[in-house]
Amino acid sequence: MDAIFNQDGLREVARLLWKEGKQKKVWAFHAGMGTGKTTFIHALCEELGVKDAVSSPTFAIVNEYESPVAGVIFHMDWYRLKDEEEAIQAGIEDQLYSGSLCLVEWPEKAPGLLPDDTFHVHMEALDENTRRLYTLKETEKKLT
Amino acid sequence: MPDEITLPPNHLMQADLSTTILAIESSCDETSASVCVNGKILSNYIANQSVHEKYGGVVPELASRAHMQNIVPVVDTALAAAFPELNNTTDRLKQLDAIAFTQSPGLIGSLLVGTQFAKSLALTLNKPLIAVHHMQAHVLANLIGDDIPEFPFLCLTVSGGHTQIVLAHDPLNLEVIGETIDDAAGEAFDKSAKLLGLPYPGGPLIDKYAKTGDPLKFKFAEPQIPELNFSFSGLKTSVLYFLQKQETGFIEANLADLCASIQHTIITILLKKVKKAVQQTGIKQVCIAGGVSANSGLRASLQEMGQKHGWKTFIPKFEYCTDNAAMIAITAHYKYQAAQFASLDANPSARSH
Repeated sequence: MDAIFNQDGLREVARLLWKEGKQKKVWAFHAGMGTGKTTFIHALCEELGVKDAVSSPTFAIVNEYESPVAGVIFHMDWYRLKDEEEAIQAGIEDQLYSGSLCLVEWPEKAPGLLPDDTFHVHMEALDENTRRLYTLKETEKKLT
Repeated sequence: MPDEITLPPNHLMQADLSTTILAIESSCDETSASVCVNGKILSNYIANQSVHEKYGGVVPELASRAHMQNIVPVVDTALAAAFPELNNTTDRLKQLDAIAFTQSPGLIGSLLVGTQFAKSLALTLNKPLIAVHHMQAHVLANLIGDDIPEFPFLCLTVSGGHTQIVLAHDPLNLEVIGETIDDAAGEAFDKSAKLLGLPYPGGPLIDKYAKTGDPLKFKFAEPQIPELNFSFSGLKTSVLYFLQKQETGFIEANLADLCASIQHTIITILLKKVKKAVQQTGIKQVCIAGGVSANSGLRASLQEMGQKHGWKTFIPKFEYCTDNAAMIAITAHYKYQAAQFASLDANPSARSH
């Protein structure tokens, strides 16, 4: 998908993205600071019926939620990690390969840990209130 | 909690005499152990920075491996500091009536180390085990010492990972009445600092530079969030876009004013909701807890606001604000009195609720 939206369109984009990616277990969110990764994941989790408080996992590295639709969700943030080695020592592999849905912010910190069939979601800010969110098809990915 | 069990009253009888508890905290970056007797903290030891430096990396003490390296020396040091008159660990361990540990929330690999250690010790010593919730402990850190709030009180818990307003009915009945829907307050400090080019974690640096800056020089977005909840991600975006519009060299030339304005905005967001909580509940005893309560601007503003509105404000000593085992010990003290013990198959949990 490729969508341009503002705050009001968050839930709708979250719903469409779930439709596209629900078979995938690991979702990697690529975007710069302040683009709205956490805000988007908040909306996605709301869409998935999560009742837990969804907030930034930057400090905790991993937040765990429960969804009636997706089961256990691990919301991860690798911002504070230095590299794969540190990610492994933090024990996040267990969750990443647990079969539960993993929503990963800052996946660039340890790209080598992502499984081959990771669902890559890209976000960028077009202006202060407008965001673009897009995913790449398998064929496009091979070219990049 | 499913892990809670109630033990026969013979365990309670010890409480009439004197209760000595060893508490272990390993939920995130720090390994810490503390001993308390009847709610009085005898020792509170936190693995020190030299271990961090040796370990290296952006995030000190992140790995559970580091907790494993730390846990024995940390517990041993806390026991030695609590019982200087006893000259060996075996005799010191004999003083203990219960072992407490942080069960949740936190990084699961880190929590496991403290949990397994506490369980092993409880099994070996044949003493009851007490599972403590980290966020409850932050609030109850306000009950350490002599000048403590009376129930009910309100507590603003602000740290790198959490931002909550808690209504404390009694030590074992805490109600979260507001929390962040995205970033924590400490994260807002750290990430704003990052946007200013300051090293991570930059929160303390913002506090430092803010002291000589003008807090009203720059205006950043304040969120409109219903109820008593918080949002800080908009502030981050607001700072980012503001900085993008400026010329090269702007940050360097305006660092103190930028820091002061960002800090002012974060504190305003926090205290507006505290004020609203006081108005809603009618409770005028207000505490703060968590690592961000070290921020001098927040401390000053809370005290000022308290004086203006006739609130009684409480701020724990700094060593009890950041992650520490003393707050686990004081919480365990109240749980012991209520005979809220955990079974030996208790498991840690990353989840907050």
